[in-house]
Amino acid sequence: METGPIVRALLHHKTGTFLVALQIAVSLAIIVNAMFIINARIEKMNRPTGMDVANLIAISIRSTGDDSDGLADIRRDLDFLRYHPDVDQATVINHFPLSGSGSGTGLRTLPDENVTPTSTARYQLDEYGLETLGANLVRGRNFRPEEVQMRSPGDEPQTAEVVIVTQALGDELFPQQDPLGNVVYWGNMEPATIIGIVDHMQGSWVNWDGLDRNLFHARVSAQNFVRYLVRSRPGRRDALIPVLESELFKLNRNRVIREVSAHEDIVARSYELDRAMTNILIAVIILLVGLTALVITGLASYFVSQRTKQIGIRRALGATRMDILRYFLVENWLITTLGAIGGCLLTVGVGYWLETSFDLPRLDWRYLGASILVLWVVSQFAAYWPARRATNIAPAVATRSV
Amino acid sequence: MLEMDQVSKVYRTDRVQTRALDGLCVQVDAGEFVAVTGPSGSGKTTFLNIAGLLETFESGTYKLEGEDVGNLDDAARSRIRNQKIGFIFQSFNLIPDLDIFDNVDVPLRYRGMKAPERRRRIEDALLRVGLGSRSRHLPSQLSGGQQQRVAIARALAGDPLFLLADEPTGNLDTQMAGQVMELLQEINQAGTTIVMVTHDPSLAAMASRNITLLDGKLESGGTTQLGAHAQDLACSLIT
Amino acid sequence: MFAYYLTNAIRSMRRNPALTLLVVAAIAVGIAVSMTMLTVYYVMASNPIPRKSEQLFAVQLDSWNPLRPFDSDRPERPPHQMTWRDVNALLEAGYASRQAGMFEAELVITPQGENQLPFEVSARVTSSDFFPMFEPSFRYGGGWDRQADRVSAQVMVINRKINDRLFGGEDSVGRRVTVNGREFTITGVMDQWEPMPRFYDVIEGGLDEVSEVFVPLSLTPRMKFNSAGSDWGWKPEPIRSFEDWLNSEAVWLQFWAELPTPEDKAAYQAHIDAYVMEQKKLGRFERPLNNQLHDVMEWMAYHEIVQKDVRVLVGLGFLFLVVCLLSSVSLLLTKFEGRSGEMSLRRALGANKTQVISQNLIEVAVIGTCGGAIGITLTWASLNALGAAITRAPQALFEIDTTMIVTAIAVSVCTSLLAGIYPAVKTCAIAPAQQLKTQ
Repeated sequence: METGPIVRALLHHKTGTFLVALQIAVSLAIIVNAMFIINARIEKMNRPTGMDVANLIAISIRSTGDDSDGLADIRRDLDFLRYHPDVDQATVINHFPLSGSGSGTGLRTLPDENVTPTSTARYQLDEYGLETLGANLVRGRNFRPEEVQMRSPGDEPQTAEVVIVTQALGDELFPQQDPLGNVVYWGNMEPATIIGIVDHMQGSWVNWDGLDRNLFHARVSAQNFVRYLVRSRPGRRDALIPVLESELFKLNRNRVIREVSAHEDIVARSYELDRAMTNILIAVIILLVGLTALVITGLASYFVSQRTKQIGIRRALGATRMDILRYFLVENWLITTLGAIGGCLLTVGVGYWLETSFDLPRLDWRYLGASILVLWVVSQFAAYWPARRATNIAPAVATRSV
Repeated sequence: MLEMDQVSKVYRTDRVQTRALDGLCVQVDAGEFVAVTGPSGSGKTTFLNIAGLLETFESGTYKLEGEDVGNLDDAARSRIRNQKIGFIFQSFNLIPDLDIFDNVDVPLRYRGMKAPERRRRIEDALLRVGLGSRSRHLPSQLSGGQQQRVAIARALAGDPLFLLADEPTGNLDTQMAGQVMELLQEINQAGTTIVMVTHDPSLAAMASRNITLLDGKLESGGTTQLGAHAQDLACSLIT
Repeated sequence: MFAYYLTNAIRSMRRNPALTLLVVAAIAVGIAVSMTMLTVYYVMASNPIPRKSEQLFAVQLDSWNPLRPFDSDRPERPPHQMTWRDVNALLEAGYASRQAGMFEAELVITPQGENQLPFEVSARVTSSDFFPMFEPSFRYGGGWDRQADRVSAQVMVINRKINDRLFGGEDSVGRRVTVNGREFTITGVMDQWEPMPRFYDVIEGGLDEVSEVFVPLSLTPRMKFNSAGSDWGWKPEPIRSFEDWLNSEAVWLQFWAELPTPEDKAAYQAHIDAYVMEQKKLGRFERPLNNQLHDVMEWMAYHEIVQKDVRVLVGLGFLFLVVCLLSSVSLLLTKFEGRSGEMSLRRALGANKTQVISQNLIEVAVIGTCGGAIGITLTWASLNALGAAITRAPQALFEIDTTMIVTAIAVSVCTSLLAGIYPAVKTCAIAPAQQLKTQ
């Protein structure tokens, strides 16, 4: 390898070399940090939900008058839903998981106001709720039909006596013990027994760090808002949605069917900003890599045409085509590497700025490695075509005057 | 050592077809200092390009040390240029971005020599041309005569079969030209074969033998004294 | 002379079209990326009501749990919303010239006529002062008066979209609409009004749209309007009825006061502190006195309306611009260096250094103008694409206004000058003879 002479030759073009290296350095800093953020967002969006999201349909209904018998409506709707051939299971539910809308509460392990309550999202559903969600009840038992509280407006307030919790909530409440069979206390200090454990399920707010802490209790409330969650038979979801929308309206025309939509779409809406961020950053990376490649190709083509004579001389002095190709690729590699070294420092700087100003987690070094690899490959490809052209310069160029 | 037999070269453009060499027969023996002369357009440069394996030719044969080099592929021709021929160009053709040392180093690098061996050869060659102390200067910091001496050192460093010089004094003033010619004669006397292309009769006079080209054909002096008769005969039989 | 420079510049650009195009593209992409990010930031960080932003104050009373603060990470912060009881007490006391309590609800409108289905609208349930305080523009009519608040009149303001839907866009003031089964009279039709951010309610992030209809807050007990926003509670209270809910310690309303002078603000602070001290005697407000007033921009900062992501993107966007700038410099340097022979010749023929530099600068300016123009077009296109991707945010977030176009032009001029001056000047620094000799 003739690295020494290449380096010394580059030193005579300090400005140009420095500019390209600096460009690569800044690109690297952007790419590494962008890849890091993208990866964090993709991981966030791909966290296991613990539900059968792909087959779920979310239905939200609101009654217009106040004279309807809410519980009767719900019973009739559920009957219709459960007997529909394309429906696997259905439940009434107070909020849709992963929708950004939810109900939260605080639980204590002792009936004492001074104990800091553990906050959790709370789902009210019936005895078919867990089955509909596709939540995996790993230990304990499900709700019994007689445990479902049927409530109408004006009823005396009543807390649930049995609850099911996710493992994450159980661990938070009882770090040293088995949560199953233990007693927790509501805000009004009424007790509830944990009768079952769901291994994992995500709750309401995707940006909350307690997303995995969820509580279930059995209750059907007749309010002017009612939400159902329907689990369709696999592959039938999209065909089922319009059917449910029109049939539910036919069951009672005195109400507004606010929404019948794939639960997947609701989840996607919750992650919309994360997805937009990811897409923007991917676009930025593509533009950046593309621009860098084009600039390298442009500059290299120009230098090849500038150095036609020099290449001819080298050929005359015995350089093979391979030698010429190698010369340009090594030169390019050196500039890219110089840029990458500068880029490492810059990346750490930008990473530090992001970390301190935006509480982003510390940069992972693997991204730096991956990004440098990408830049190496791309810049070698970008330099390859002009370098190929350089190999076609005839050695006889050396004997041409001027 | 160098034998061209019936070598022809035609340049074609869209409209014009120029016969640059037309059945040229030339022979050079080891140790000779041959000057190739002729007026403008006589085919001197084409001869130089073919002799230096910088270009290919249509017909005829070209042998170096008995090896036919006419039909070699590009890589093999590069290797022969690198190992057997030392080039000296009219416009010096030093690489401006490289210092003197690295310029002399260029052909040695392509030969794949080890660093200590290269260093020894470069230092020897520069010493030989009287530039031993200036190895880290850039070409632009030297005079024309010095630059040409660097080019000669570059040609010598590889220990070639022969030197191929193209108007080596064409870009120099008289005084520098004289020094360069003296150096070439010195090198020749030390045993290196030199083939020099020039249009200047006074330079040609300094060579041990002159070959004159006209319209791509041999005018005179194509062979050594010993083989002259046989060669002439062969050529005239064909033409 | 300028025309001559221009002709030369265009001739020169055509000589290396690939390099020229690449410089134009680099500038265009750099501007598009950085300006797209900057526009979103600018809209998020902008003052939604510049004329009055220092006179409008969000009011907070610390009615929270005596045992622990509302926000355990920032214990100095009182709850960001208020209880129904306190909102009504403050409205009644009238300590400020104008005050408005409010919350978001979802109501059902039943249109007249046969096959018309009932539909849901987003509603702001608020007091009459909302309109003079926040100054929405009206197409027809206006808000309701304080008398309507006092008697809990069934009146409403609707926006243009609902007016178009119900009345085909005609002046509907005085017409009637069935809302949640009751007859309401329209007092006004709002014109396009999209404050960005939606400063009067930023609890959910401030990127939400303005409600479709507005109805009096005093109707809440009778009509049992439920909040569609968030509610927060700390006290275990048995809720049997809507009345129990209204009397609870749950916080779910926002409250604003208009306080034109610093004296007004000080007086108001004293009044609400006195009110809380009074309430303490009744056993409420057991936390230390911590009532806060924030004007509009303080309130935006309090809720971090400009999201971290947007700041990160603006930072990365400008680093991207730096990359494009560096690309342009090295490309232009290369381009001008390739022309140094011509430059030397011009100088040898009598052009002075300034003339040669001007020639180069004109070329750079032409390239910069093209790059800038394409960049602004691309900015507009990418903002549209973002608008299509982020449906949750109002489209005002992705609209480029005159300020941003001027900024974009300024940025592109600066970019191309930065990119061009160095190469233009550097290549002229060579003595005329030198270049000719080495040719």
